[in-house]
Amino acid sequence: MAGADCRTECLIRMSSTYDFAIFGGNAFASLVAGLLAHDHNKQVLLIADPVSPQRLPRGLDLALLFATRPQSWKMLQRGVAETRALMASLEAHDALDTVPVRIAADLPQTKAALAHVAASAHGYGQASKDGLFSGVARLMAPVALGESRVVTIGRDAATLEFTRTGAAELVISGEPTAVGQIVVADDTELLELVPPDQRPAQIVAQSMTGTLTAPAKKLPAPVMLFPDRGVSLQQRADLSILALVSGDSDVEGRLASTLPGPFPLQRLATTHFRRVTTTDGAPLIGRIKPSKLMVLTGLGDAAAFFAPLMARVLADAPGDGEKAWAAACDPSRPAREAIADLVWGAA
Amino acid sequence: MRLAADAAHQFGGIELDRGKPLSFRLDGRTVSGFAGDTVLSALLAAGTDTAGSFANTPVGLGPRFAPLITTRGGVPLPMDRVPATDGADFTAIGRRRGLQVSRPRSLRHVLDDIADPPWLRAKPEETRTVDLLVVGGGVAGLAAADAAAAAGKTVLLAERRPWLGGDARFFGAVGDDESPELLTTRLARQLGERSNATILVRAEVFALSGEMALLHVVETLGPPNGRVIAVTAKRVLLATGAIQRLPIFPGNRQPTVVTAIDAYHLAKRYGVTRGSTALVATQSNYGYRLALRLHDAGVRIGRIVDTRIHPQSRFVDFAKASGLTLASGQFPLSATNTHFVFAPTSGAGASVGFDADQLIVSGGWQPDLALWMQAGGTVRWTAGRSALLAHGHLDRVALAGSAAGYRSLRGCAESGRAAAATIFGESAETIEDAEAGTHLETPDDPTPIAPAASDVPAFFDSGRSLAARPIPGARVSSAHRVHALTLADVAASVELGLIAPADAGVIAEERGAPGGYLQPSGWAPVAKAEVSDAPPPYLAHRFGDAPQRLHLVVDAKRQFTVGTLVYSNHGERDPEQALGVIVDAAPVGGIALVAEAGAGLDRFIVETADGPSPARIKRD
Repeated sequence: MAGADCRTECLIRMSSTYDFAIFGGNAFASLVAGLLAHDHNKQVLLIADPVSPQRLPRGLDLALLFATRPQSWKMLQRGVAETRALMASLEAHDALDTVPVRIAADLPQTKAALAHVAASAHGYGQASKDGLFSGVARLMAPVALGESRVVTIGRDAATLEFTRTGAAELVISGEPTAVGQIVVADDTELLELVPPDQRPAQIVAQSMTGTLTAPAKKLPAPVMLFPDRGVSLQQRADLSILALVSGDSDVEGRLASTLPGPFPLQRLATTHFRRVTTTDGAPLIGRIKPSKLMVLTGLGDAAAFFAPLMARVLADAPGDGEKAWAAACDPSRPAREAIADLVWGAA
Repeated sequence: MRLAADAAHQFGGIELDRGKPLSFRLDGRTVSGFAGDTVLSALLAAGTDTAGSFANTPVGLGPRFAPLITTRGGVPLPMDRVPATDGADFTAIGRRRGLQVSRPRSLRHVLDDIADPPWLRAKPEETRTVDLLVVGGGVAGLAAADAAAAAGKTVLLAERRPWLGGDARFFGAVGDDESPELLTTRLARQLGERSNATILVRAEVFALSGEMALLHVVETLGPPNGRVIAVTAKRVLLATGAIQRLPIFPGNRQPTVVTAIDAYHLAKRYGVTRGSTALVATQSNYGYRLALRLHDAGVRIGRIVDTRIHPQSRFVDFAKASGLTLASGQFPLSATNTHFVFAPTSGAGASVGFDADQLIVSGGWQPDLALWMQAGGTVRWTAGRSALLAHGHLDRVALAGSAAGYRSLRGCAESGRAAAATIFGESAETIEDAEAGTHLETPDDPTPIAPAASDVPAFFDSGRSLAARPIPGARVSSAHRVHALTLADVAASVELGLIAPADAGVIAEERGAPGGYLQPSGWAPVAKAEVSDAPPPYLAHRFGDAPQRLHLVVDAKRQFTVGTLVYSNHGERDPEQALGVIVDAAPVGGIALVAEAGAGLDRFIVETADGPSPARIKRD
């Protein structure tokens, strides 16, 4: 769905009031926008540039959470079922596959935490043994809104301005545009749009390095996660490996320590970007002051599978337990210890 | 073939000494040439014009695409930088088809799996330290190096080609300005006389990070040899020039298709052309200039085909006056051996085909910013120039000349001098980049692109990446192959709509500066010292505010693993309803963290991987 890419027709529609304006070029933002428009009959403006397939992915879009809290797994597994049904209804079965994922823990604390993750996951049907999670759902390609009720405009066309009170106001092609709620559903956009002094204290901007290697020896599993080394690997059909490394320190050393060789191993592409993690390891969902921007972040690689839930929460039509779960993730809650989860990343 | 030694415009080859013939062997075949030839120029002159095959299509041999060669016991070297040496016995490196049937002019390499040059992974044999490293010996690089050396800086200038001057001569003199020949000769002489400056030709800088650059130089004193030199430079000035884009049409890398800039240098430097007849397809006035010179040098120009409709230029007028056949509003549609087809740009009218020994093609110019990106610089797609241009600035690295987007000879020279000053924090002269008389001439068209076809590859660029246009209907396009894309590949992908313009810079940076080879690493995480006996944060409040630690057992042997959930004896086994969880191992059973309410129970269910197990509190 490349969205109703906006030119004349959309500029006419631009004069109408949107229920939601969503910043984000990732699968999560696209799915939330599409579901709000189609399942909840909302007027939605998606502000994003199309993502070229040649660009290195910034995440794995994997239905696997580094989370020990049962509530998170319950919501995720519900989201996986809904996403699978959604793709089936769109005749896009190929958009999802399942893949075994091995989480390789090095440190005793991490092994213990991983055991808690596995137990919670097991409780909701996600099988695993000795760190190998089987049948993990994965989005195969970027989600693009084809024929859709969502109006899509390029990122350059939209800016945010802040009123004297600090509230954010959407400006499109120089004109203020009325919007019920501005939503930031993409880490890059969050870090760009929200000034550091307005970001919730729980937000951490984490440096990331994405690397595509030449074809390598076969990995023990097509997706390998090394939380103590801050490295995620995904082997492609041609045996090349997409690696995502968090943090700035000794990126090459940590990456190479997880690779199977043969060495020297050629790098075909490298990119640097930032993503958002949270200090307490829990998702962060809610409005932030004073801009009143709604931020959806901290869901890691599994974010896309939370799109149905997020669309319901935004449309004020939450399902069983969802309102409480989202409320617990609100950044303005004075205490979030009850949802604190794993904080892994750069070693 | 060779042009006559006394061909007009020095197209007999200014590098050659025709009085010193030589011969060498390559893969067993004897190749004749002259002193001053490179191995590549001698091969092309002898009619070997094909590197091999890719996707069952012959791919031409050229300065940007040629196999490495080696001698017995020697190291792999690039044949465009190795001098032809009398009596040498070279072997081309790479997988080859064993049987030669149809193309005796081919090196027979299988190009689908082309390897990177080994020096990219080699360790430097020597380190040099200078104030300024200048990469590129064209007008901008020479001017920069000369200005910096004159200001007292130690300078090393590295030029990849065997000669200095860059591409300036291709464009010729402008108005009353000093000609490119005189300017480059003067600058090279001045620089050569400065004791604090070193010039290295046949020296390719292939890595740049921080203050360190790595270059590979082909040494020609004695048997050709290659060495990697590390250069520590306080400042680096990149005058790396621009790459001529390849028009996109099926067959655009046939051995009979050559870019205008390659055709010019081969003729001017080595007196080489790919045949006695040529067609010239251009979108620029300089295509006419080259055609005129080749015509004067003895090549029969069948016609000049221009994408622009009725272009105006002094070169067009000269071509008409010389009796050359001109056709406007047409683009190259396909190339098959020596048959070339052109189609009208308007879409109306029939395509027409002509035969010739070669088709000389012109495309736009993409600044060579590979090292800029390696150094951390960014690029952006600039629609008005149909090119990726440098964006932002770096503290210790500067751009000059056409790499920085300058177009005129004067602009390139002045930008070199200006960059050599500003990079050291000094003020610089104003740069004038006007091309005299160009307001009277038709501007260049973008690089021509023919409609997609299904059988013969249409490549994006003439370099090593071999990225080609997706074949209609193919599930996985060749544009998505796993290979390093050049900037020209990315530019072509943007124009074909395969890459969004807003993404082009990011993709070019990703693919253009991927970093070196990864080496084995023994890195391992170090456990942090435990600071607290308290439960980890992810268990906080999970089982109420005052959970109890209980030792649960089922019998005298069985152990419960950490993470296993604990339920009441009669209740729903939903993880949200769990009473507790095993948090520590024990010789039997396990230590559980259990909600205060559950501490009073005496029977539990522990949900093990093998199924539910009864458990009780172990009381000592």
